[in-house]
Amino acid sequence: MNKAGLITKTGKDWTLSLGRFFMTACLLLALSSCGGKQTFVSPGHMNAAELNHRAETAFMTGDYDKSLDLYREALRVNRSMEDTDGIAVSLINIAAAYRKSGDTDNASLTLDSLLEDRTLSYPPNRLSFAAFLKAMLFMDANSYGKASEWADKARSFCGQGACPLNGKLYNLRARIALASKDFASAVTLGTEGLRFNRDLDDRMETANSLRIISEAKAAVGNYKEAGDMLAEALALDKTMGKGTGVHADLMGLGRLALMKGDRTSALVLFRRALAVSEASRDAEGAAEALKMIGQCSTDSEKR
Amino acid sequence: MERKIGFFILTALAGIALVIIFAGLRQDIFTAKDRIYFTSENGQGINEGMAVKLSGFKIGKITSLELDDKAHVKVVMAISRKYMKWIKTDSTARLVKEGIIGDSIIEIIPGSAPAALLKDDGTVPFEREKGISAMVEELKDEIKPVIRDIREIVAYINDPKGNIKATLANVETLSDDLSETGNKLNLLLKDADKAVALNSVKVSGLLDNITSTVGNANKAITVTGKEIPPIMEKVNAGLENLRKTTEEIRKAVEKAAHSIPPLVQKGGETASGVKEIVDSLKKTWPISSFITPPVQKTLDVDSYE
Repeated sequence: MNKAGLITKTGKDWTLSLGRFFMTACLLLALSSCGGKQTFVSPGHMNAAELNHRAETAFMTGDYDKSLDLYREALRVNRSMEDTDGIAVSLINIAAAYRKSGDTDNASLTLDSLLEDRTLSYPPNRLSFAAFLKAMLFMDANSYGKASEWADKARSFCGQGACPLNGKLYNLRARIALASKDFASAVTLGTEGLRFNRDLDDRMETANSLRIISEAKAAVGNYKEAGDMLAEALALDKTMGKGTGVHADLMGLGRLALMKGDRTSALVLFRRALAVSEASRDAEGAAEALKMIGQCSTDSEKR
Repeated sequence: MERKIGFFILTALAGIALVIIFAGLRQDIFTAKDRIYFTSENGQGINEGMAVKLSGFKIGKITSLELDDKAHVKVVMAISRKYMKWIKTDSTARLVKEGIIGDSIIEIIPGSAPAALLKDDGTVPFEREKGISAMVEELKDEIKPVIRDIREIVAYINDPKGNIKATLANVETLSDDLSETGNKLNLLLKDADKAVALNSVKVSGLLDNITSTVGNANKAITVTGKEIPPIMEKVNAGLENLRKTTEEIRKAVEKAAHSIPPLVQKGGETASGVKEIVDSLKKTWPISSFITPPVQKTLDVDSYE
């Protein structure tokens, strides 16, 4: 402090302040470089992404009509920008929504409009997904030959490289083998799918692989392994909060108990499956569980 | 030096005192107030500090709420003395909302001119403005009989064994008869020149037909004449109920209409402003580093379902 009572800075103070300023500036520069390069998203793409998000929410809540409307609007926006990836995504999602609402004809037609379009060049991973969905449609219709054919097409769209759909495709092929009572192939394909799904950390498909292998193992009398796999699938489905998965696992465990002649445990498991399906508003699942409960009761009466 | 410091501190203190006085004046702290009361069955929607208004002017506020022996809520209002000249012994306090979603306030309804002025510690009666749910309930009660009347009328008209249907069937038969008669007349006129004698016989039959048809028509008209007045009475009563209800709805809408457009506009502007701020924030470093740009993705299709 000088004589006038004012605080003055000495030469040393100024050097310190300057040093602090430079350090702060360097720190800010370093932090901004950590942020990385910002991707520019146009208003059109933003709009399409928002529509896609809203449609997905509607789909998840079971409002397929609303979901279809929003995906159609997203398709229009994508077409207005000739965004091939966006167009492919919208068409695949429209087909998925049609499939869920039970309109398989329109689902198939929508996928054909993408797979047969030669005017635009769509990303191979999207075409692969569209082919997989087409295979699922044939699987729904119990056309196992066609389903297998389209599963192969889905793989071929990926080319020589790694295919992100490998896990799903192996599971689908394993289901086809299971439906054709080729249990050995079902186990092999399911195990291969399990490996891919575990690598991708895809819990939903991992649980599917386990369920499929378990079914195949149970069919050849290997109840112990089948039960262990179903228990693991059940734990996975519970962590994901997937009602349909939990129901399928409980039903599988119930059937396994029946195969082993343990009707009491089977009845408990089917009742648990019924409670899950009722809470999930899954009428089909509830009917399946009730049928099995009825079967258990009839068998007990006969005895 | 010390004198200077003393002068500086004094000036600062004087400044602070002026600010306090000014704030006090703004808050009406120094205004003389009278306390008046009202009692409510419950304290729902009434809070301490709530504004008390008269003809839209703030004249005071609620200073306290307390439960009395009957578990009713005694509400104390502090009113600026200069406004007490408008509060009479027959004045009323009402709990109202400013606009549809505005704040609740206590509105003082000025009393009649001949009534005496309310004094300090005086009491005013209290009432609540009807809420939207109460208004809807009232409207529902009004609409119910209208719908019931309309349903009865429609059921009456639609009853296949009812008089209306029977009358319509009679009218249809009558129309068929008339059409047949017309055809016969045409034929008759064509053959008039050739067989006058025969025609005379046919005309006689025709006249019989016409007489019978006219008889039928008379019967049908008589039946219709008897049935229509009660129906028309019901229709009139229904329409009158409908008119009253529409009038009620119109009044309610008119009451609310002036506040809705500015509210909606304000809401829209606010939402737009908030969106702009959020969008700008999203683009600002370092927030932008944590936000992934939205992408379109395919639904996760389950290979087992």
